[in-house]
Amino acid sequence: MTGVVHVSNVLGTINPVAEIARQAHAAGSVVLVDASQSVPHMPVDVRALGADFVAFTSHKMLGPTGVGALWGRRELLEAMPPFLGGGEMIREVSLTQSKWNELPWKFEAGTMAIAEAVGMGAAARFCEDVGLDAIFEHDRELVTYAMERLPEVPGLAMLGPAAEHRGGVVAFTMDGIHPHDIATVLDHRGIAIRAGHHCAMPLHEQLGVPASARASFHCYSLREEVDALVDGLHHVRKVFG
Amino acid sequence: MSFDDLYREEILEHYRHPRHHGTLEHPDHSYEDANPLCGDRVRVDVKVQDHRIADIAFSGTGCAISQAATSMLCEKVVGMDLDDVKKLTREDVLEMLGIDLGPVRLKCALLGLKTLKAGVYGMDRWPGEEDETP
Repeated sequence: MTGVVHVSNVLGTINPVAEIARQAHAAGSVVLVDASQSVPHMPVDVRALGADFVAFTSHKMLGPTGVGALWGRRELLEAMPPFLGGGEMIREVSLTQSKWNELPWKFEAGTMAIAEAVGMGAAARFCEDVGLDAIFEHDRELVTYAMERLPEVPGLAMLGPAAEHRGGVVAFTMDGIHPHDIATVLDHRGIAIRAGHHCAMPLHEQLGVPASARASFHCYSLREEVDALVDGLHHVRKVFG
Repeated sequence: MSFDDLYREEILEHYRHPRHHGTLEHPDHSYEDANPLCGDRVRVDVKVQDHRIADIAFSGTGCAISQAATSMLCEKVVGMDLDDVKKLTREDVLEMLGIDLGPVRLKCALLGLKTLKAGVYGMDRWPGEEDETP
């Protein structure tokens, strides 16, 4: 199994998933793509990715927490046993054997997170109504603007590729100031960023930084908020010296 | 709580100029611990004489809260009997810091104390602590 992220949740890098999948398949591997950062931000065609499995989560697409989706190639899903027992995943039970239900119920044992799933559906429709092309353009414009302005802050270093190779996130560090302190100061100014490892410790080790701060954009983000972020970071610099 | 309360001048002062910062040669106890959630890392070296802390030094990287709390803690425990060190609690640290903290930043504040006590007890784990994953 080869696992790859479509768009990095830390660096924003848009990975050449189709090419990675081609090479992985040539080596006899199945391919799982984490599309949690791409599905909510750009048009994604799971077949064009060339993947065997594509996973994404509701809470990154303006939907409720605790629910997500897994797309898989039918023949692989058919071949897989259920990972959880419970109502709906069974077709027939006798004292000596059980038969599994068909897809997708085979993998939906018990009472599902119904409200969350309905909410996720509403969120998906909302994103489609706004337009995933439009969201991608908007994110790209903001991340480009942010990457122009952030270097104005003394001692700030951005992580990851140029704006034209990334989705709508920008992670950075500031000399001598821990990302948690950056986040707390910004929080008190009404600016919400993420600070820490972003669940990617090996990447931070590779980058040689203990942690990073990350600004993320979606269709509701404004250019003025990038300005507020930069003003806030100047203030952070003033507080911590 | 306002921002000015959280980063009181005394906390910023300890952060910019930490006391007892560095390492000791031939420490009697040395212990290192980290907060996996944020990447804070603290090592505490202790020299013991007559069952008291004769000298202490800390090193590592971390946020202003963890560094300032550890700096203040080191100042407090020099000369202290080891049994009294074992009795130090989170309330003692919060009293020194003079601020209230939410659950995430509380971990930062307590990292130094946790490391010091683990070193003094010679144990791996804060009593009653559960594993946390990032």
